Amino acid sequence: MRGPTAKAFKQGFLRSFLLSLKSCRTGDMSLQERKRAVRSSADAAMATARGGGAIWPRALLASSSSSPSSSSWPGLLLNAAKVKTTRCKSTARRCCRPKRSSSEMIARRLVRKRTKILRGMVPGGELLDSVSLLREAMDYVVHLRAQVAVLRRVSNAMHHMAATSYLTGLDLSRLAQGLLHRVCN
Amino acid sequence: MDGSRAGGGSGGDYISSLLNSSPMLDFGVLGGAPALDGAGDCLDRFCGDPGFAERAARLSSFNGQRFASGLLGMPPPAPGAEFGGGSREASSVSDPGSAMKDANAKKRKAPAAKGKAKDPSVSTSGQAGEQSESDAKRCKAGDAEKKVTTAVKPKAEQTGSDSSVEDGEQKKGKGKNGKPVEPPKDYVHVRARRGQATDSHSLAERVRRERISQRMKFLQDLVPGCNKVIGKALMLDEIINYVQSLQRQVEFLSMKLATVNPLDFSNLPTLLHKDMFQACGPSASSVFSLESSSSAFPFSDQGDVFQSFVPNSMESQCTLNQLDLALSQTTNAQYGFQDGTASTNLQQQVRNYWEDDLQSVFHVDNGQSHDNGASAESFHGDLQAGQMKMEF
Repeated sequence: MRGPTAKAFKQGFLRSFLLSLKSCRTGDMSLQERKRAVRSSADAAMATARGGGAIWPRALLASSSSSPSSSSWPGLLLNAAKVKTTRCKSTARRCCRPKRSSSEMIARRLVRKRTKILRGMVPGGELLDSVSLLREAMDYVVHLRAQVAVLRRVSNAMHHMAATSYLTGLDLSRLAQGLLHRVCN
Repeated sequence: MDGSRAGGGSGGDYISSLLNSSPMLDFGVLGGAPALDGAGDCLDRFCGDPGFAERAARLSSFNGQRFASGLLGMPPPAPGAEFGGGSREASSVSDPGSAMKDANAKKRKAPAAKGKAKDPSVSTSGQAGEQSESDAKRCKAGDAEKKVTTAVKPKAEQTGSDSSVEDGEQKKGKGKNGKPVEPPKDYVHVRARRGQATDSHSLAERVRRERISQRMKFLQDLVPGCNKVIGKALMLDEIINYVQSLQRQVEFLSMKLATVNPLDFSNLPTLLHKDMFQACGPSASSVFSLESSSSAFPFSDQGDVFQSFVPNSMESQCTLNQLDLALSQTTNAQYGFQDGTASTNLQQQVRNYWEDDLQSVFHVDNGQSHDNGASAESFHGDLQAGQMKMEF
């Protein structure tokens, strides 16, 4: 995902991320709680910035939102995904040719196992059949990569600001401004 | 502003365009392009969900702007101004995946590339800079569909120039081409080959298999290091590993962010936003300039810089692959943060750790990379100088 869409997504993600971080009170949390807050706001920001073109943002938002999600969202997700009814596997087996090597069956079993694992990792994957699952995984990977890039830069900037301000005692805003101007130019 | 919305909508369109090989898209504009049934229908359905809208509105109430409408998939058609000339450069904001795709596109456009037939219409449409990735995918979709020798509803740009079968596979499907063109139809026209089973189950099964293999090919481009692997199970393995490593990176980075104390973003957002909107993509000339003050950023950012600077896509892909590996290893090691104070020695530890890891990575990479141009050496030299200036 590169070109104009990448930058737009990163900008939207950054904005949502910083806003959500600003809104939560991180002053009196422990480290673990802070990390969880950062992680959940990053996920929420990623899902929000992604929009409505895929299934995983809604599943991600639903799993991370504190309020109990409406019971209808799985059904709505199914509708939105246009999930074709997964073909009954037993029917398929019956219709296929009877001769089938055991190696083929082993391969199939491996693929099925891995597909199950992938389903668990991609949010909202449990509702999808394997075809759409691959598409969702593609989309998810692309946006995860962008999220990692933005998070890395933000954390580097924050650490640098914190470190230098700690050392020199300068005003944080002026420091950040100078830093970023140096970076842009 | 419009950025996120266009990004969201056109992100979905991006993937849809990869899969459906639809004609020219303007990535910056549309969220519900009628040509893409998948994205369009999804967005329609999403519009109809009150729960999601409410949740999105809650989340976007921070901003108070037009997130909600954007999430409902109706972006106003004016984000073009934001995507300045620089952002159109597919190579500038790049990653190894897209660089690979570009390389693949070029390879495929070469007449002798793996015996695949050249697709003239795709190459002409490839003139537009921002379409280069989608063209790479369209090339690939075209190649994947070359198994179709007869098509009921052919897309002119793909099957018109179809001249050779890609390989000797028996599979033959029509699904991908037919479906996006005719959204309301739910069935696909598949012609069985001689000697193949003709009952509906096996035909549909074949279509499904075709679709899966096409998507696996796309995923192969996305996941670094997957092109050497053949076979569904192994590729799924790679994909799973990659997703896991990315998620672990997110965990690690959020932990790292949590160690910043005080975690105040009051000054950062406005400055970062100004910077983000002004920066028009890293240009090779301005990325590297030595700074006399202490090193600005840890060397893990080498990964991002690398991909924009190194012209050779293979090289950057190898590097980023190993970088990802290195980072995932460091992720596991760094989980032992127990105190929350952002002491400078902690950051220095982190920096040193990454520096050592990255030094080893680059040593290995310099040894292994087959197309090791001068850029890699200059990188190494810059690394050892110890001061980098990162462009945001």
